[in-house]
Amino acid sequence: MLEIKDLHARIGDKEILKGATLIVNPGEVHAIMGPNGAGKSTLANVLSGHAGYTVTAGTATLDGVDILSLTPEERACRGLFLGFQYPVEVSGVSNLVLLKAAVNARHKFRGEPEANAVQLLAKVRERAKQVEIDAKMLSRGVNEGFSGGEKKRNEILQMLVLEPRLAILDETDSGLDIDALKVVANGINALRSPERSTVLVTHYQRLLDYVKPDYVHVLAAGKIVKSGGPELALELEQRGYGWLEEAA
Amino acid sequence: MEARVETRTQDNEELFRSREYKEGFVTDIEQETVPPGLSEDTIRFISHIKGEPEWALEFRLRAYHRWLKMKRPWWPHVHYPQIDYQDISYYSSPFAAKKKPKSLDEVDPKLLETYKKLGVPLQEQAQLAGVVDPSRNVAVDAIFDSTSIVTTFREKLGKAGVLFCSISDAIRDYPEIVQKYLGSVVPFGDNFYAALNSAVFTDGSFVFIPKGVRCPMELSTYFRINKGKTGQFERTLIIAEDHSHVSYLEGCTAPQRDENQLHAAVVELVALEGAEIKYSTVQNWYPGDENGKGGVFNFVTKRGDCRGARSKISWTQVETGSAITWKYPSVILRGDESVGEFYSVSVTHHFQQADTGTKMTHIGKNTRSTIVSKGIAAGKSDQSYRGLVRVYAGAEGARNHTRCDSLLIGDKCGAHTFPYNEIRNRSAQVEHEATTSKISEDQMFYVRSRGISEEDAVSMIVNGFCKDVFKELPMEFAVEAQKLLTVTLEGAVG
Amino acid sequence: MSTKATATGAPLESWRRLFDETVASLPGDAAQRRRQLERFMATGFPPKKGVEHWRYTDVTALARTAYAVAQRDKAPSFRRLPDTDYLVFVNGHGVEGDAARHGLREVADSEHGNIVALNAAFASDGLRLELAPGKRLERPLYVVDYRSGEAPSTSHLRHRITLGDNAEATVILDSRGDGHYFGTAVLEAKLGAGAHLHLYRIQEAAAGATDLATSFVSVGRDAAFEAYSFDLGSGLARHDFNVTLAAHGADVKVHALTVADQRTHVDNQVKVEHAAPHGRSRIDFRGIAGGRAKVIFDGLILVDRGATKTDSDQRIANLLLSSRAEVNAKPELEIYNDDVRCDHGAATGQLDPVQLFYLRSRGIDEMTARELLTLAFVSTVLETVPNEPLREMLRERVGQRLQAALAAEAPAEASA
Repeated sequence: MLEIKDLHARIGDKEILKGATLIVNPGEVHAIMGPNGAGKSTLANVLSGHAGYTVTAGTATLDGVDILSLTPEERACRGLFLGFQYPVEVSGVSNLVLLKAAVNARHKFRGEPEANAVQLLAKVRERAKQVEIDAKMLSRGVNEGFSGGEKKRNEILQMLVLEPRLAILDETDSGLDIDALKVVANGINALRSPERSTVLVTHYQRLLDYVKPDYVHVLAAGKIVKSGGPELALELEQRGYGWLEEAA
Repeated sequence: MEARVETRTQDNEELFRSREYKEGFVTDIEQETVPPGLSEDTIRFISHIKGEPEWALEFRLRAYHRWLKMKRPWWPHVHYPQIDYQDISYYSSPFAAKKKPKSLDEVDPKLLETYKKLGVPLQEQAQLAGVVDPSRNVAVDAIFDSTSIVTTFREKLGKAGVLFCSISDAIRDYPEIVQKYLGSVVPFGDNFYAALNSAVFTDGSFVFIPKGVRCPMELSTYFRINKGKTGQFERTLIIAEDHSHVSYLEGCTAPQRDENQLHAAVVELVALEGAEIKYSTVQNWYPGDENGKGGVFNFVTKRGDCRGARSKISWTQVETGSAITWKYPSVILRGDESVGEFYSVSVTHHFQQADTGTKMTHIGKNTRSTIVSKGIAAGKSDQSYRGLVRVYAGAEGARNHTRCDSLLIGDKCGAHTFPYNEIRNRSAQVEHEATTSKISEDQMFYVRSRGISEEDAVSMIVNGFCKDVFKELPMEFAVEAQKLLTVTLEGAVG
Repeated sequence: MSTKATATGAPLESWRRLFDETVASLPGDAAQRRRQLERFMATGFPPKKGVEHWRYTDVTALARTAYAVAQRDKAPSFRRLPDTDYLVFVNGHGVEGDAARHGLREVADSEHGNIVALNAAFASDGLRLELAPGKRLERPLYVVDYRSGEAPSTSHLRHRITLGDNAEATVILDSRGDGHYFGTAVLEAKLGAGAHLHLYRIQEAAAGATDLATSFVSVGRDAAFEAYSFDLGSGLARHDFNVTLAAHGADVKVHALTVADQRTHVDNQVKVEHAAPHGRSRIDFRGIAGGRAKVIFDGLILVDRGATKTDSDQRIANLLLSSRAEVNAKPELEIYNDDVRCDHGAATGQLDPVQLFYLRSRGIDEMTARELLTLAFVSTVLETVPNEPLREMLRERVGQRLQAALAAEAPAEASA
């Protein structure tokens, strides 16, 4: 589904990704871990098309299509979803309006008629309940005045409504208490299916207790330096990253 | 609000296709037009053709002589060539003098067609475009160049005691009321354009709400400039007696012409004790083309006088049109505990220039005012917020809160903020907050990463930016305003 | 800024006569001075109406008053700060301090009219501080500008500060006086790349004085300019403060405080122009007006077309002690670039009645409570002064000025 080969990217003059390679097949959950500044968020942002990063070498394809040349919205309509590390506030634009526009953008992309507003609303409400977001919050501005935990749950809500084929969740677990973490994990698990894949970018092993990954990768100094099964996460928890950074 | 925003999103696709100024057509109709030129004779002619009493002519002539000694204001942040006032025709009417149609059947079908195209209902059974609830009627005064074509629902309103007609009719039919209030809020020598208007004003609306009456329906005036080389000199007067209430809407369009047209208006509002006037404008005069050719010069003096205690005047404006806008709807807070409000969205694109804002003059005790201004500049346009809050020494406990935000789209436009806070009472609390920025890249990336196109993302973020003002508009105007915003910013990004 | 001032006619002739009497005793090129005088004669004093940035201050009386050139005099005594160098001007002439640090050789022709031209024609002396690249002024330079006049007198100073790349200096300009006088001071300062200038302006003009200062500061690449302004006088004072962020990455901070009572008139016109990318500016003004005082603060942030990534913020806060006083706050933005973040806020009001009640409920009398809260209001500006002896001296002078202003308002109105 997702194939990243020898990806190099930089912000300004600073090279962050230095040849990252990763293959994600349908139905798989991958966790990418690594020390601060290793390039985890950069990888997530580059895949989603953030204009602040420049790709200098390598390729990334989604279902065989080169996504690096696409706009962020084209990537999204092709089934890519980025859960932001720091969800953005968009004042005056309600969550419902954003979701509706996003769903219809996908319909239009696929040449389908607009979504039925009543059905869509029912679906959003139901998903909101799933991630414990009050229905009233749906009418508020996107992330406007939301607490840190609410913002993260709102990201999961958007994911559940938009049903992406590939979700990249950038530290969606950080800053959450254990209850909120379970809610987020349940949301991620709810979307698991043989057609969909998930990439969890995380700092901590904790999330992986609730969302069992198929593979765990370590990103250090802009490269995947080690890959393994769920047991690798436990090892990292015990040994830290030092031993891998030296190897890189 | 939810429903309105969603309506807009659905309409997006259609909107983005209709790139041009769709009100830019000309009605091909024979008009009685006086030759260009301004003199005492022109004024006598206008007064005569409207069958005015002597005092009205005197008012005009005094204003004219004052105007001759005045200079155009030098301080607005706008640039335009000298206007040749002898090159403008001051009167143009689609029907012969004193042959105003008595009913719709007598109105030229071309005119009816014009208003139909503009979505303005002249049949009482019809609806203003966008009205969802069929039980909500809106009375319309339709003004075409220098004359009022028809005023709907006069009879129904009359039963409630509400007078709603053109100012020309009012001067003839209710001279004592008009004489008492005309020029009492905006004196004829107030400023250059107000003086000009007082000398040559042609038509506008007159509203009188008697004591204790809540006007049974929304009132509206639709201004249309049609004829080339004519000026439109709107004059509107609204009086709300004690404990009465009225909501009034105003819309404006003009054909697409290469030369500039002048619209110099004076609007006076008087609110007596406990009365409330809500005045909403969606201004969509022809803005000129993308090269800055043509467009309406919109020089307007709008002022409300909260004359009675606990009265309230609220201005809401959405300004998307005109080549040049010079406009400061103001409130004089004379009555104790009176309230003034100003909510404004101003959008400029291409070569448009706007210098707009408000004046809140606190005289009475415990008076309150709120100002919310949202400016959006795109293309090579230039816009300024200019707002004065003045608290006189006697205005114990006066309160003002001003919020003033500007959004710039592109690096060739300008957005400016000129607030004046003049405070002479120690118990006053006056707060002003302002921001200027572009649409944040983070917001754009976030919205686009959800699959929404760049243009839709801009439109969505801009509408969100204006939400605090749109929510003050009557429902049908809010829908209209959001559409206009999108159309105005067409092609501003990328 | 438009200066469409027109000549006010015959009264200005007295200034020409004054010039003719004085020019021989003034340093530099007399012909050049005469050109400046003619420029002044053509533009005159700003008129009462029609010039936006003079809408709250009327100086037309200057044209009608017969001034004599102020006489040389000796320095009055004043308290001195430790580890500080002093330069003292009395009535426009340096009387104490390093001779190399003052003197006028030439006043360059300039475009400016009005008061700046008048100053160029009449200026008799001024600070000259030139630091070579990398040089640091080890001790603060304290410039006392004392003026006096029994009969109406006039004197004019022209200061110049030039800091080479990475040079650093702290300069304090303290203008004060006695009697009836009209003084102007024009400062031209230029900061090279990476230079740092801390500039203090303390104004304590006499009740009968008109003190008009104009400053032009150009801030170079990555240079930092920090200005502190204290208006504590009782006459008519105005400062036209023009700061240009001339090169990439310049950083400007302006802290200003005005305390005014009786018939004091203080007008601060701060114009910060962002002319280059990545500039950062901060303006923080606090004003207190009692008696029949008039306090004006007009802060304009101008962002030029090319000044991308500008970051600016302006805060204005005013406290009115009396309902016969007046404050006029005008936080302006003029922006010609979309890649900016410019905010401003202005608030005018009285002391918070809840806070006042709280203090009184703790047994503090109302007068003291007011004083405490008012001091708290001004201390945010005082706290920014990094030099401790200077800060303490300012705290004392501000405190005295405040006490006088508060005492004049007592007995205070009953609070809520």
